[in-house]
Amino acid sequence: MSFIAAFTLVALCGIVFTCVMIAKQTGDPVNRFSVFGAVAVLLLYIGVTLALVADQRGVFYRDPIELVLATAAFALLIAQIWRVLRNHRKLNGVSDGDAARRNLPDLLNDLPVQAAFLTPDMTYAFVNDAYSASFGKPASEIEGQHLSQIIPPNLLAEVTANVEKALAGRQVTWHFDFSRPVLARNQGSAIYQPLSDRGQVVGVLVMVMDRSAVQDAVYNAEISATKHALAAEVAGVGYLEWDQDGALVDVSHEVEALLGRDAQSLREMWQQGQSFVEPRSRATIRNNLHMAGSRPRDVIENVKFLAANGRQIEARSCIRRLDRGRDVHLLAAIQDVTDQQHVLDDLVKSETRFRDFTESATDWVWEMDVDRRFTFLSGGGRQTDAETPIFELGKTLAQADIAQGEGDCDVLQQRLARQTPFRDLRLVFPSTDGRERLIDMSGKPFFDSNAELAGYRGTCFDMTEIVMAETERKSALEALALAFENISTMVALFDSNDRLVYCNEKYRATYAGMGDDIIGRHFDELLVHFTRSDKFAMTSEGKVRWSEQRRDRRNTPAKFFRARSASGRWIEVTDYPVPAGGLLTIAADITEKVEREERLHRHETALQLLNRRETLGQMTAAIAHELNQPLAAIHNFAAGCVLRAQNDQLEREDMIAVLNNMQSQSERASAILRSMSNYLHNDDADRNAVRFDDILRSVQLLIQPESSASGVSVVMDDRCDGVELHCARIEIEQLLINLIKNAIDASRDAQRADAEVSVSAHCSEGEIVIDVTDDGRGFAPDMPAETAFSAFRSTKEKGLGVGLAICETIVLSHGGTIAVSKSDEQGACLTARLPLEVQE
Amino acid sequence: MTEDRIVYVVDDDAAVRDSLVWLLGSVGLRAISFASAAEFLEGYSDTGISCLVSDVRMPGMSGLELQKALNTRGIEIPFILMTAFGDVSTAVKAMKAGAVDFIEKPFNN
Repeated sequence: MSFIAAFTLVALCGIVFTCVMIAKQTGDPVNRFSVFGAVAVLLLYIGVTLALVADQRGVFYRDPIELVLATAAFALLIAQIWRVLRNHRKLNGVSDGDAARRNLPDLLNDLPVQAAFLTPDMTYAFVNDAYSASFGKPASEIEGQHLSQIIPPNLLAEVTANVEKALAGRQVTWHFDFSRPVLARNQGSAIYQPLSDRGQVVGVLVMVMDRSAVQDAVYNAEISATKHALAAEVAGVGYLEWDQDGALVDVSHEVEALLGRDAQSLREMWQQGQSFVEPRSRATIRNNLHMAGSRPRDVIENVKFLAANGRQIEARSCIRRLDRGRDVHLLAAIQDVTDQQHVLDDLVKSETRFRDFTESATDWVWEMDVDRRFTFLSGGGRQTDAETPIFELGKTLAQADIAQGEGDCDVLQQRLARQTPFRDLRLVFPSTDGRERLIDMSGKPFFDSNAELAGYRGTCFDMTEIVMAETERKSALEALALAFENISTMVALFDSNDRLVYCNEKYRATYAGMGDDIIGRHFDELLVHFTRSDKFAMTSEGKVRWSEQRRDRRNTPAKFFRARSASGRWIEVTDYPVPAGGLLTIAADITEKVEREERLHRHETALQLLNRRETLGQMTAAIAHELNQPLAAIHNFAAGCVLRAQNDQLEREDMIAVLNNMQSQSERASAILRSMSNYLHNDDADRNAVRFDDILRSVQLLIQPESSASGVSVVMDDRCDGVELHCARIEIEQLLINLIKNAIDASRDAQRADAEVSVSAHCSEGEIVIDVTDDGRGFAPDMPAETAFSAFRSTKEKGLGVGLAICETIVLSHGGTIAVSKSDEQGACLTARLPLEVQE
Repeated sequence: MTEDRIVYVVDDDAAVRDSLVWLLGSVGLRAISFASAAEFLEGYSDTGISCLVSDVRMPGMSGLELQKALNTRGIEIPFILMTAFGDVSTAVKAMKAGAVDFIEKPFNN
């Protein structure tokens, strides 16, 4: 083997070795293949060299080709060694502090994103060009600064949180969108990648992918489209041009015309701060100029100009940065939108109004073309509550399911053919459920600018329900009227002007003398006639009362009143206010009813008298004893006087005292007799205001003998201090005597020592409350308290059993109530309540 | 001595009581009145010749009950009952219990 061959062999071995190292360093599969390649070349070389070993012609080299191979192998080895060393440096550089920092900017600048490296104390170690450009600062002003000094305050919290998470070892991906309409687009995502060395986080690599550029492109396309659209729509798009120092350079003719000033004067005005722009808009434009100057974006805003004639012009401005060579110019495309805006506003308003109207109306709107084919139907074609629509878009009127020959179908066809308007034509649509649907249709033809028929339009509404309701109402009214005709009561309906609208036969008969038709007559006319009629001749007082009461009727619920005619007939009139504002008057001849009531009242009166006689009869013995007392006293006094006078022992002073005594005793006796007489013979049922105290005193006088005779004391607790009760005095006395007498009987029957009846009366909330409590045994179990007031029932052996029934009649006729408020083995208590003023 | 003879009057009715005292005074009898039987039993003391005139019907203790009470206590005093209506059963009861007389109101001397 020659020296050169050996050298080549060693070089090839070195190449294999370096290939292995590179494969290890990079982990790249391509590099792994290159190892196999290098080994194959080595083996090939060894094989060739061994095959030629017999042919040894020289020590140094045998063939010039060997020299070439050796040189190539050596060069390749050197290159490989350089790659190994470079890889080695790169690999160590990331984990090794100083070396890595020197190389990081290069790495980061290679990335197509904004990137920055933050140390664990959140200070920028390095930023790439894209990152620093996004903040508009050179990298040197960012590096070494804390995060909080660079990131805008509104984002700081979120960014800091992300960095903190990354420092904790997690990779964070943050999608952000801070875009603001028109002015700025700022959207993208950021990745916070923790970088660690042997488990220790040494910093965070921030990579921001800004998608704003993509959006800008989209936005610019939009702007461009808008401008084209605007230009197409409205003539007179002009422009103003500023240089980079903010001086107005040029204005177009359109702007000159719009503002009524020439370019020169506009330039001067802008320079001197005199405004041809509304002050707020001027500030806006200045702002926008500034913004557009620093960003490669159009700024669009509405501004207001002031024309020379004082008119205020609304305009839309779009400011664009123009790079003319090295100069930056700003161009504002200006467009007068004053009229356009108004027209647009009006159009939108009118459209909205129309849509609201058609959607909320119960009617629907239709339109058809010359061929009577529906071209528009509001409500999406579903015009009623029914399942299937009546008309359909695109179909002709003839295709609709109209019942031929019914309703106004033929009229409609005629009108359409004659091209004349039509109104409220009724169309009948058969329905599957057997119910016909009625549609009311109105419309008229419309014509184009050449006076040619362009179609028909109009409205429709479903009147099925309305017609049905009307029919039902009519039949109900007819039934009601029929019912009214056949009753003996007079029924009349007056409208809000008090004119007769309806009356039944009975009512009509009463006014037979007034002519054939009394419908439409005023109530006052009718009243005059009515009160003059033979049957119901009425006093003038009665007429006035009727009129007055009727006047109040409209505001108050139904009330009735009774009037007695001069001929003695009674009539009862009830007026009901009807919702529409009229009055329904029902008048009935109630003479029989009144007479019946009077008869009943007479019976009641007789029964009351019977009851009084009965009660008094039961108490006669006691009252007689009571009468005996004063008589005995008078007798004794008189006899004493006689004896003393005979013996001349009668002193003058003694005699006067004794005579006074005798007088008062005789008064005592006559008071008892008077009470008895009143009680039996007084049938004065007239109601007057009576002091309740007086009533109690009379009652006490009559009941006291019975009390002492039976040994049951009656304790009166009168707390009605001077209260007056509007009542029939005799009836209230009877009420109290019945109650107390009953209580005494009950207490005596119980045979209790010291039996007592307590009567207490007090006044409360406009009524007198009377409690009569006994010491009896209560109402018997077979006679519950509810039936206590039924007539002809009694727990006592004697008596008619009408006492409590009469009590109830009396109380009710005075508008009061009576009830058993207690009933047990310890006794019963009956409570009567009487209103001070009886409601008529 | 008329001063020693005392008539006790028991009646709940003041007018009747006063008129009796007046009448008895007219015939020279000294009379002491009581409004109820209980008052009499409390105020009575045996001081000499006396008699008792009492109403039958009174609230509380009646005349007959008073008579029974006197018998129980062993008080012997002539007892005259008075009533508005001479009802026989009451009179018999009174007489059996030892009443001296039974008079009806109004009195006829």
